[in-house]
Amino acid sequence: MSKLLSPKVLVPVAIVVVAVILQSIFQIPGVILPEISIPAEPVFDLFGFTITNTLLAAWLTMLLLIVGCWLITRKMSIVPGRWQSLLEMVIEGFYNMVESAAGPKWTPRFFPIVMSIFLFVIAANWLGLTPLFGSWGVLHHAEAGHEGHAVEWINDSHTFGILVKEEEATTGEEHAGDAYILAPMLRASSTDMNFTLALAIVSVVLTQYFGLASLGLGYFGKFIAVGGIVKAFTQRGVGCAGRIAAFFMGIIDIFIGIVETISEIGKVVSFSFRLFGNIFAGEVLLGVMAFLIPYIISLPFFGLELFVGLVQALVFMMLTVAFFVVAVSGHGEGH
Amino acid sequence: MDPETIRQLAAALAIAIGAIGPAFGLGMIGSKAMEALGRNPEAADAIFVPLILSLAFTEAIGIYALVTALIIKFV
Repeated sequence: MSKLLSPKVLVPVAIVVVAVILQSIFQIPGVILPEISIPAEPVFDLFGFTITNTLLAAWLTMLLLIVGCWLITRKMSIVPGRWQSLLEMVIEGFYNMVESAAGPKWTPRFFPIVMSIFLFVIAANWLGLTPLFGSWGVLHHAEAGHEGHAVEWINDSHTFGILVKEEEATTGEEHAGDAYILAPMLRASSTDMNFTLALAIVSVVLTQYFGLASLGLGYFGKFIAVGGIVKAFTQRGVGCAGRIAAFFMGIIDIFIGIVETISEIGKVVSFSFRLFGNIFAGEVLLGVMAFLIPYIISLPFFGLELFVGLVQALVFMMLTVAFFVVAVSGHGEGH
Repeated sequence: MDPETIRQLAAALAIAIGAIGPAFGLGMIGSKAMEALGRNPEAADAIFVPLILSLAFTEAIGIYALVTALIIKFV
Protein backbone atom coordinates (compact mmCIF):
# COMPACT_ATOMS: atom_id res chain seq x y z
CA MET A 1 0.00 0.00 0.00
CA SER A 2 2.84 2.35 0.84
CA LYS A 3 4.18 1.89 -2.68
CA LEU A 4 0.90 3.10 -4.13
CA LEU A 5 1.14 6.32 -2.10
CA SER A 6 4.74 7.12 -3.04
CA PRO A 7 5.42 10.39 -4.95
CA LYS A 8 6.31 8.38 -8.08
CA VAL A 9 2.70 7.24 -8.37
CA LEU A 10 0.94 10.21 -6.83
CA VAL A 11 2.51 12.93 -8.99
CA PRO A 12 1.39 11.54 -12.40
CA VAL A 13 -2.06 10.76 -11.02
CA ALA A 14 -2.34 14.30 -9.63
CA ILE A 15 -1.29 15.75 -13.02
CA VAL A 16 -3.99 13.74 -14.81
CA VAL A 17 -6.68 14.68 -12.28
CA VAL A 18 -5.73 18.38 -12.44
CA ALA A 19 -5.75 18.23 -16.25
CA VAL A 20 -9.22 16.68 -16.31
CA ILE A 21 -10.56 19.25 -13.82
CA LEU A 22 -8.97 22.18 -15.72
CA GLN A 23 -10.42 20.90 -18.97
CA SER A 24 -13.93 20.85 -17.56
CA ILE A 25 -13.58 24.21 -15.78
CA PHE A 26 -12.24 26.15 -18.77
CA GLN A 27 -14.29 24.07 -21.20
CA ILE A 28 -11.33 23.32 -23.42
CA PRO A 29 -12.74 21.26 -26.28
CA GLY A 30 -11.52 17.71 -26.57
CA VAL A 31 -9.11 16.94 -29.36
CA ILE A 32 -9.91 14.39 -32.03
CA LEU A 33 -8.04 11.39 -33.36
CA PRO A 34 -5.58 12.58 -36.02
CA GLU A 35 -6.03 11.49 -39.60
CA ILE A 36 -4.56 8.03 -40.17
CA SER A 37 -2.75 7.97 -43.48
CA ILE A 38 -0.25 5.42 -44.76
CA PRO A 39 1.83 7.79 -46.95
CA ALA A 40 3.88 10.29 -44.96
CA GLU A 41 2.50 13.82 -45.01
CA PRO A 42 4.69 16.48 -46.63
CA VAL A 43 5.58 19.23 -44.19
CA PHE A 44 7.54 21.74 -46.26
CA ASP A 45 9.60 22.09 -49.41
CA LEU A 46 13.35 22.48 -49.36
CA PHE A 47 14.83 23.55 -52.74
CA GLY A 48 12.02 21.77 -54.54
CA PHE A 49 12.52 18.60 -52.52
CA THR A 50 9.52 17.64 -50.42
CA ILE A 51 10.37 17.04 -46.79
CA THR A 52 7.93 14.65 -45.14
CA ASN A 53 7.35 14.32 -41.43
CA THR A 54 8.91 10.86 -41.28
CA LEU A 55 12.05 12.12 -43.02
CA LEU A 56 12.27 14.93 -40.48
CA ALA A 57 11.95 12.37 -37.68
CA ALA A 58 14.66 10.22 -39.28
CA TRP A 59 17.02 13.22 -39.35
CA LEU A 60 16.18 13.92 -35.72
CA THR A 61 17.00 10.28 -34.89
CA MET A 62 20.37 10.51 -36.64
CA LEU A 63 21.14 13.78 -34.90
CA LEU A 64 20.24 12.26 -31.54
CA LEU A 65 22.42 9.17 -32.13
CA ILE A 66 25.41 11.11 -33.45
CA VAL A 67 25.35 13.79 -30.75
CA GLY A 68 24.57 11.23 -28.05
CA CYS A 69 27.43 8.92 -28.99
CA TRP A 70 29.78 11.89 -29.37
CA LEU A 71 28.88 13.20 -25.92
CA ILE A 72 29.30 9.78 -24.32
CA THR A 73 32.61 8.90 -25.97
CA ARG A 74 34.08 12.42 -25.80
CA LYS A 75 35.83 11.85 -22.49
CA MET A 76 36.51 8.14 -22.46
CA SER A 77 38.28 6.78 -19.43
CA ILE A 78 39.46 3.41 -18.17
CA VAL A 79 37.04 3.67 -15.28
CA PRO A 80 33.84 4.42 -17.18
CA GLY A 81 31.24 6.89 -16.01
CA ARG A 82 27.58 6.04 -15.86
CA TRP A 83 26.72 6.65 -19.52
CA GLN A 84 29.93 5.22 -20.87
CA SER A 85 29.47 2.00 -18.92
CA LEU A 86 25.88 1.74 -20.18
CA LEU A 87 26.99 2.11 -23.78
CA GLU A 88 29.88 -0.31 -23.25
CA MET A 89 27.52 -2.84 -21.72
CA VAL A 90 25.09 -2.61 -24.65
CA ILE A 91 27.82 -2.81 -27.29
CA GLU A 92 29.60 -5.68 -25.56
CA GLY A 93 26.42 -7.66 -25.05
CA PHE A 94 25.45 -7.34 -28.69
CA TYR A 95 28.99 -8.06 -29.85
CA ASN A 96 28.93 -11.36 -28.00
CA MET A 97 25.50 -12.16 -29.41
CA VAL A 98 26.63 -11.49 -33.00
CA GLU A 99 29.83 -13.44 -32.40
CA SER A 100 27.88 -16.48 -31.24
CA ALA A 101 26.00 -16.43 -34.57
CA ALA A 102 28.71 -15.29 -37.00
CA GLY A 103 31.91 -16.61 -35.46
CA PRO A 104 35.10 -14.67 -34.68
CA LYS A 105 36.22 -14.27 -38.31
CA TRP A 106 33.31 -12.25 -39.67
CA THR A 107 32.00 -10.51 -36.56
CA PRO A 108 34.37 -7.50 -36.79
CA ARG A 109 33.06 -6.85 -40.32
CA PHE A 110 29.37 -7.49 -39.63
CA PHE A 111 29.09 -5.83 -36.27
CA PRO A 112 29.35 -2.11 -37.17
CA ILE A 113 26.64 -2.49 -39.82
CA VAL A 114 24.15 -4.52 -37.84
CA MET A 115 24.68 -2.50 -34.66
CA SER A 116 24.06 0.74 -36.58
CA ILE A 117 20.86 -0.79 -37.96
CA PHE A 118 19.81 -1.82 -34.46
CA LEU A 119 20.52 1.55 -32.84
CA PHE A 120 18.90 3.47 -35.71
CA VAL A 121 15.73 1.38 -35.71
CA ILE A 122 15.32 1.31 -31.96
CA ALA A 123 15.97 5.06 -31.67
CA ALA A 124 13.48 5.75 -34.47
CA ASN A 125 10.84 3.49 -32.87
CA TRP A 126 11.19 4.87 -29.37
CA LEU A 127 11.44 8.47 -30.54
CA GLY A 128 8.05 7.99 -32.19
CA LEU A 129 6.53 7.35 -28.76
CA THR A 130 7.70 10.65 -27.28
CA PRO A 131 5.30 13.61 -26.94
CA LEU A 132 4.65 15.91 -29.91
CA PHE A 133 5.06 13.02 -32.35
CA GLY A 134 1.87 12.72 -34.35
CA SER A 135 -0.02 15.30 -32.31
CA TRP A 136 1.70 18.56 -33.22
CA GLY A 137 1.68 19.78 -36.79
CA VAL A 138 0.36 22.01 -39.52
CA LEU A 139 -3.36 22.57 -39.92
CA HIS A 140 -4.49 22.75 -43.51
CA HIS A 141 -7.74 22.63 -45.41
CA ALA A 142 -9.14 19.22 -46.14
CA GLU A 143 -9.08 18.26 -49.80
CA ALA A 144 -12.37 18.26 -51.64
CA GLY A 145 -14.32 15.13 -50.85
CA HIS A 146 -12.17 14.22 -47.83
CA GLU A 147 -13.29 14.44 -44.26
CA GLY A 148 -12.20 17.41 -42.22
CA HIS A 149 -12.87 18.84 -38.82
CA ALA A 150 -13.69 22.19 -37.30
CA VAL A 151 -10.93 24.21 -35.66
CA GLU A 152 -11.09 26.09 -32.38
CA TRP A 153 -8.66 28.98 -32.82
CA ILE A 154 -6.68 29.95 -29.76
CA ASN A 155 -5.43 33.33 -30.96
CA ASP A 156 -7.11 35.93 -33.18
CA SER A 157 -4.72 35.75 -36.13
CA HIS A 158 -5.62 32.08 -36.63
CA THR A 159 -2.13 30.67 -36.29
CA PHE A 160 -2.68 28.37 -33.32
CA GLY A 161 -5.64 26.09 -32.97
CA ILE A 162 -6.82 22.62 -32.13
CA LEU A 163 -9.09 20.35 -34.07
CA VAL A 164 -12.37 19.80 -32.27
CA LYS A 165 -15.06 17.21 -32.56
CA GLU A 166 -18.26 18.15 -34.27
CA GLU A 167 -21.56 16.38 -34.36
CA GLU A 168 -20.77 15.18 -37.82
CA ALA A 169 -17.50 15.33 -39.67
CA THR A 170 -17.76 17.79 -42.54
CA THR A 171 -16.42 17.03 -45.95
CA GLY A 172 -14.17 19.46 -47.73
CA GLU A 173 -16.45 19.80 -50.71
CA GLU A 174 -19.40 21.30 -48.92
CA HIS A 175 -17.58 23.37 -46.35
CA ALA A 176 -14.52 24.55 -48.23
CA GLY A 177 -12.65 26.73 -45.79
CA ASP A 178 -13.77 25.39 -42.43
CA ALA A 179 -12.84 21.72 -42.71
CA TYR A 180 -9.27 21.14 -41.58
CA ILE A 181 -6.97 18.18 -41.18
CA LEU A 182 -3.71 17.96 -39.29
CA ALA A 183 -0.43 17.06 -40.96
CA PRO A 184 1.84 16.08 -38.06
CA MET A 185 5.22 17.79 -38.04
CA LEU A 186 6.91 14.65 -36.70
CA ARG A 187 5.88 11.04 -37.11
CA ALA A 188 7.74 7.83 -36.20
CA SER A 189 10.01 7.18 -39.19
CA SER A 190 9.28 3.44 -39.22
CA THR A 191 5.68 4.22 -40.17
CA ASP A 192 6.94 5.20 -43.62
CA MET A 193 7.49 2.40 -46.12
CA ASN A 194 10.36 4.37 -47.69
CA PHE A 195 12.33 4.23 -44.47
CA THR A 196 11.90 0.50 -43.91
CA LEU A 197 12.41 -0.27 -47.59
CA ALA A 198 15.69 1.67 -47.59
CA LEU A 199 16.96 -0.27 -44.59
CA ALA A 200 15.83 -3.56 -46.14
CA ILE A 201 17.61 -2.80 -49.42
CA VAL A 202 20.79 -1.85 -47.55
CA SER A 203 20.61 -5.14 -45.68
CA VAL A 204 19.99 -7.31 -48.75
CA VAL A 205 22.54 -5.55 -50.98
CA LEU A 206 25.17 -5.92 -48.24
CA THR A 207 24.27 -9.62 -48.06
CA GLN A 208 25.23 -9.95 -51.74
CA TYR A 209 28.39 -7.92 -51.10
CA PHE A 210 29.53 -10.16 -48.25
CA GLY A 211 28.68 -13.24 -50.28
CA LEU A 212 30.84 -11.96 -53.14
CA ALA A 213 33.65 -10.93 -50.79
CA SER A 214 33.68 -14.37 -49.20
CA LEU A 215 33.11 -16.74 -52.13
CA GLY A 216 34.11 -14.65 -55.14
CA LEU A 217 32.11 -15.07 -58.35
CA GLY A 218 31.17 -18.57 -57.20
CA TYR A 219 28.59 -16.88 -54.99
CA PHE A 220 26.35 -16.42 -58.04
CA GLY A 221 26.38 -20.17 -58.56
CA LYS A 222 23.70 -20.22 -55.91
CA PHE A 223 21.34 -18.29 -58.21
CA ILE A 224 22.38 -19.56 -61.66
CA ALA A 225 22.84 -23.21 -60.84
CA VAL A 226 23.85 -24.73 -64.19
CA GLY A 227 26.75 -26.69 -62.65
CA GLY A 228 24.67 -29.85 -62.30
CA ILE A 229 23.66 -29.99 -65.99
CA VAL A 230 27.18 -29.27 -67.22
CA LYS A 231 28.44 -32.01 -64.97
CA ALA A 232 25.88 -34.47 -66.41
CA PHE A 233 27.46 -34.13 -69.88
CA THR A 234 31.11 -33.85 -68.96
CA GLN A 235 31.30 -36.40 -66.19
CA ARG A 236 33.35 -39.48 -67.08
CA GLY A 237 32.83 -43.04 -66.05
CA VAL A 238 29.06 -43.03 -65.67
CA GLY A 239 26.64 -44.91 -67.81
CA CYS A 240 23.68 -43.59 -69.79
CA ALA A 241 21.30 -44.03 -66.83
CA GLY A 242 23.71 -42.17 -64.58
CA ARG A 243 23.85 -39.26 -67.06
CA ILE A 244 20.06 -39.04 -67.24
CA ALA A 245 19.77 -39.04 -63.44
CA ALA A 246 22.45 -36.33 -63.17
CA PHE A 247 20.66 -34.33 -65.90
CA PHE A 248 17.39 -34.32 -63.97
CA MET A 249 19.20 -33.42 -60.76
CA GLY A 250 20.72 -30.50 -62.69
CA ILE A 251 17.27 -29.32 -63.76
CA ILE A 252 16.13 -29.42 -60.14
CA ASP A 253 19.22 -27.38 -59.24
CA ILE A 254 18.22 -24.72 -61.78
CA PHE A 255 14.79 -24.42 -60.23
CA ILE A 256 16.31 -24.20 -56.75
CA GLY A 257 18.46 -21.36 -58.10
CA ILE A 258 15.33 -19.55 -59.32
CA VAL A 259 13.71 -20.03 -55.93
CA GLU A 260 16.85 -18.61 -54.27
CA THR A 261 16.67 -15.55 -56.52
CA ILE A 262 13.02 -14.96 -55.69
CA SER A 263 13.68 -15.40 -51.98
CA GLU A 264 16.32 -12.66 -52.18
CA ILE A 265 13.58 -10.29 -53.41
CA GLY A 266 11.18 -11.71 -50.83
CA LYS A 267 13.66 -10.75 -48.12
CA VAL A 268 13.33 -7.08 -49.06
CA VAL A 269 9.53 -7.33 -48.93
CA SER A 270 9.38 -9.20 -45.62
CA PHE A 271 12.02 -6.98 -43.96
CA SER A 272 10.23 -3.77 -44.88
CA PHE A 273 6.68 -5.00 -44.27
CA ARG A 274 7.56 -6.45 -40.88
CA LEU A 275 8.99 -3.25 -39.47
CA PHE A 276 6.44 -0.99 -41.13
CA GLY A 277 3.46 -3.16 -40.16
CA ASN A 278 4.45 -3.50 -36.53
CA ILE A 279 5.19 0.14 -35.87
CA PHE A 280 2.33 1.54 -37.95
CA ALA A 281 -0.15 -0.82 -36.30
CA GLY A 282 1.29 0.24 -32.95
CA GLU A 283 0.65 3.90 -33.72
CA VAL A 284 -2.92 3.15 -34.81
CA LEU A 285 -3.47 1.01 -31.72
CA LEU A 286 -2.16 3.71 -29.37
CA GLY A 287 -4.29 6.38 -31.05
CA VAL A 288 -7.47 4.31 -31.02
CA MET A 289 -6.97 3.21 -27.41
CA ALA A 290 -6.20 6.76 -26.25
CA PHE A 291 -9.47 7.98 -27.77
CA LEU A 292 -11.51 4.96 -26.73
CA ILE A 293 -10.79 5.16 -22.99
CA PRO A 294 -8.52 8.13 -22.28
CA TYR A 295 -5.71 8.48 -19.73
CA ILE A 296 -5.62 4.99 -18.24
CA ILE A 297 -6.21 2.26 -20.80
CA SER A 298 -3.54 3.52 -23.19
CA LEU A 299 -0.75 3.13 -20.63
CA PRO A 300 -0.28 -0.68 -20.82
CA PHE A 301 -0.35 -0.42 -24.61
CA PHE A 302 2.37 2.18 -24.37
CA GLY A 303 4.53 -0.35 -22.53
CA LEU A 304 3.68 -2.92 -25.18
CA GLU A 305 4.80 -0.55 -27.92
CA LEU A 306 8.12 0.07 -26.14
CA PHE A 307 8.62 -3.69 -26.14
CA VAL A 308 7.57 -4.07 -29.78
CA GLY A 309 10.00 -1.31 -30.79
CA LEU A 310 12.85 -3.15 -29.08
CA VAL A 311 11.90 -6.56 -30.47
CA GLN A 312 11.55 -5.26 -34.04
CA ALA A 313 14.97 -3.60 -33.88
CA LEU A 314 16.44 -6.82 -32.49
CA VAL A 315 14.73 -8.92 -35.16
CA PHE A 316 15.90 -6.66 -37.97
CA MET A 317 19.45 -6.94 -36.66
CA MET A 318 19.47 -10.69 -36.04
CA LEU A 319 17.88 -11.47 -39.42
CA THR A 320 20.53 -9.35 -41.11
CA VAL A 321 23.24 -11.26 -39.27
CA ALA A 322 21.64 -14.58 -40.16
CA PHE A 323 21.43 -13.69 -43.87
CA PHE A 324 25.03 -12.45 -43.84
CA VAL A 325 26.14 -15.73 -42.28
CA VAL A 326 24.26 -17.80 -44.86
CA ALA A 327 25.77 -15.71 -47.67
CA VAL A 328 29.38 -16.00 -46.54
CA SER A 329 29.25 -19.70 -45.71
CA GLY A 330 28.11 -20.71 -49.21
CA HIS A 331 26.16 -23.86 -49.90
CA GLY A 332 27.54 -27.34 -49.70
CA GLU A 333 30.01 -26.21 -47.06
CA GLY A 334 29.90 -27.22 -43.45
CA HIS A 335 26.90 -29.53 -43.69
CA MET B 1 -24.10 -4.05 -49.46
CA ASP B 2 -22.53 -0.80 -50.53
CA PRO B 3 -18.81 -0.66 -51.32
CA GLU B 4 -17.93 1.05 -48.03
CA THR B 5 -19.44 -1.80 -46.00
CA ILE B 6 -17.65 -4.40 -48.08
CA ARG B 7 -14.44 -2.46 -47.57
CA GLN B 8 -14.79 -2.52 -43.78
CA LEU B 9 -15.69 -6.20 -43.90
CA ALA B 10 -12.76 -7.01 -46.16
CA ALA B 11 -10.30 -5.27 -43.84
CA ALA B 12 -11.65 -7.13 -40.81
CA LEU B 13 -11.68 -10.49 -42.59
CA ALA B 14 -8.16 -9.99 -43.99
CA ILE B 15 -6.63 -9.69 -40.55
CA ALA B 16 -9.00 -12.15 -38.87
CA ILE B 17 -8.35 -15.01 -41.27
CA GLY B 18 -4.74 -14.03 -41.82
CA ALA B 19 -3.95 -14.16 -38.12
CA ILE B 20 -5.09 -17.77 -37.65
CA GLY B 21 -2.07 -19.43 -39.25
CA PRO B 22 0.64 -17.31 -37.60
CA ALA B 23 -1.13 -17.69 -34.25
CA PHE B 24 -0.83 -21.47 -34.45
CA GLY B 25 2.75 -21.18 -35.66
CA LEU B 26 3.81 -18.80 -32.90
CA GLY B 27 2.17 -21.01 -30.31
CA MET B 28 4.00 -24.08 -31.59
CA ILE B 29 7.35 -22.30 -31.65
CA GLY B 30 6.80 -20.98 -28.13
CA SER B 31 5.72 -24.34 -26.74
CA LYS B 32 8.64 -26.17 -28.33
CA ALA B 33 11.07 -23.58 -26.98
CA MET B 34 9.63 -23.94 -23.49
CA GLU B 35 9.85 -27.72 -23.83
CA ALA B 36 13.49 -27.47 -24.86
CA LEU B 37 14.20 -25.12 -21.97
CA GLY B 38 12.53 -27.51 -19.56
CA ARG B 39 14.64 -30.40 -20.77
CA ASN B 40 17.88 -28.47 -20.80
CA PRO B 41 17.84 -25.10 -19.01
CA GLU B 42 21.51 -24.43 -19.84
CA ALA B 43 20.62 -24.20 -23.54
CA ALA B 44 18.79 -20.90 -23.00
CA ASP B 45 21.48 -18.85 -24.80
CA ALA B 46 21.70 -21.27 -27.70
CA ILE B 47 17.91 -21.34 -28.12
CA PHE B 48 17.40 -17.57 -27.91
CA VAL B 49 18.61 -16.46 -31.35
CA PRO B 50 16.96 -19.26 -33.40
CA LEU B 51 13.80 -18.68 -31.36
CA ILE B 52 13.73 -14.97 -32.19
CA LEU B 53 14.45 -15.69 -35.86
CA SER B 54 11.71 -18.28 -36.25
CA LEU B 55 9.28 -16.06 -34.37
CA ALA B 56 10.14 -13.23 -36.76
CA PHE B 57 9.60 -15.37 -39.85
CA THR B 58 6.27 -16.63 -38.56
CA GLU B 59 5.14 -13.24 -37.40
CA ALA B 60 5.92 -11.80 -40.83
CA ILE B 61 3.01 -13.80 -42.28
CA GLY B 62 0.67 -12.19 -39.80
CA ILE B 63 2.15 -8.81 -40.62
CA TYR B 64 1.39 -9.34 -44.33
CA ALA B 65 -2.27 -9.80 -43.39
CA LEU B 66 -2.09 -6.75 -41.16
CA VAL B 67 -0.57 -4.57 -43.88
CA THR B 68 -3.22 -5.81 -46.32
CA ALA B 69 -5.94 -4.90 -43.84
CA LEU B 70 -4.41 -1.47 -43.23
CA ILE B 71 -4.15 -0.79 -46.97
CA ILE B 72 -7.77 -1.84 -47.53
CA LYS B 73 -8.90 0.34 -44.63
CA PHE B 74 -6.85 3.50 -45.11
CA VAL B 75 -5.79 3.79 -48.75
